[in-house]
Amino acid sequence: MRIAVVTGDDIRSDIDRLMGLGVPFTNLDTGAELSTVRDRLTHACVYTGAEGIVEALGRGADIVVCGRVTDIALYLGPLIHEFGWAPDDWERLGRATAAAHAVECGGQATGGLYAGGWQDMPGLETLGYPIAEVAEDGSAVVTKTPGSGGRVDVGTVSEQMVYEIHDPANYLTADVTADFSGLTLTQEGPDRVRIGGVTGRPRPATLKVNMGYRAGFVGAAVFTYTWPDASAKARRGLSFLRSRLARAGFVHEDDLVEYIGHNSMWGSRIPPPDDPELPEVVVRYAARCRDAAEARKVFTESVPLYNNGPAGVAGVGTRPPLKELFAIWPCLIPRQLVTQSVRLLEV
Amino acid sequence: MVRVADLAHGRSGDKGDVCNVGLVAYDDAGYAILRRALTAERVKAHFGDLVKGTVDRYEMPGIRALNFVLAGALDGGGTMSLRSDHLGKVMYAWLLRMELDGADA
Repeated sequence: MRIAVVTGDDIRSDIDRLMGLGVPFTNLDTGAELSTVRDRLTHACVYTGAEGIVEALGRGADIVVCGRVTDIALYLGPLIHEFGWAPDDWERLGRATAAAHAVECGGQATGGLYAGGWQDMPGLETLGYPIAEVAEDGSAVVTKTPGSGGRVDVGTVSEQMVYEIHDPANYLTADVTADFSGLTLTQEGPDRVRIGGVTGRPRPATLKVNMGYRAGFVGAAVFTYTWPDASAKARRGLSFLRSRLARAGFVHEDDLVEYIGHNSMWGSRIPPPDDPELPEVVVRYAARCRDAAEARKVFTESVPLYNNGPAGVAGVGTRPPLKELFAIWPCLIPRQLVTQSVRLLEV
Repeated sequence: MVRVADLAHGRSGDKGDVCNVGLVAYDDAGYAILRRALTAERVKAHFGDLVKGTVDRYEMPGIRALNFVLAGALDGGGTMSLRSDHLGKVMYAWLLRMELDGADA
């Protein structure tokens, strides 16, 4: 068996040289300079494209193991290998990118998370994963394995096609700029949806780099108050916790209060609970802290709620593990500075 | 009272601190109403302080979809957010809850 290993995505040890060549690695979202987090970096990986996979398959690999490649490249690689598409065949690559996007999140295209009528979705427990039948021209039909649960229809595929995209006319990948703006979906038969109307344009001159850096810790506490006056008790319990934290000299960057079961999803858009007849109210308090010791205070200072706070409390629980935060530093690199290499292992 | 949920279904997800909400209308009439009613400005107002940055709207008429890209929408992004929904998985449902007034429909 031949196993191919595709590397070249990991540029962490090469950052100084690349900056010397004039790559600023400025944060795409904030415009900040890399020097502000450089000493806290944990990784620096380029979202690389399909080239390494195509080379590996061309050299007879049975299994291809990659570093960071785009999800799309996992599909484009085998297709380019099989059909012999040119690396600048933007139209075919664009079409195939739509097929790849349709299936890259598994069951999300076959009825998983379907919001257009979840009650009627059959067989979620045995959901069939999507299959894209891609033709030589890059066009594709989405289907799933016979007898599996779920459904492939225009609705289920539509939801996946709008999932995690920005400008549909410029779906940027390492291999092509796909244009989904004219996307059409047509039901061709049971569990068969044809993708149409997609094209492609030249790939970006830059590749995206995903760097990460250590960004502190989250301390959190969750506790529940019960009837009577659960809402008022919850507010009092919260003020108790905040007061205790202040007395403990608590230093934090930001914090958040959520009432689970009430407004933990849409925050301030839903006012806090105030109905005195509510059977229970669950409070979650979370804070971001630079130091682990500060984050630990959140739980420590919540423990006295069990004996010293308002009546009717439960669920404070045992000490939860501290969550360390790793922030993403998105940035760009000119593609010609990134070279994938393929190593073959015979086993 | 008509809600967006009466006319469309949807899905949302994350890229860093950006959340996108894709709506797919059930039919052409609903798509026409949503295209008219759901301006980027109104959607931004509906999300209020859940979204700190800009809202951009894109259209995919072939599947009757509107895609809203919400910047600064996830409290610093999936790995940093304090929110229980740190990946924006249910942000779409908040948009489905939006009520449309008579002038829209």
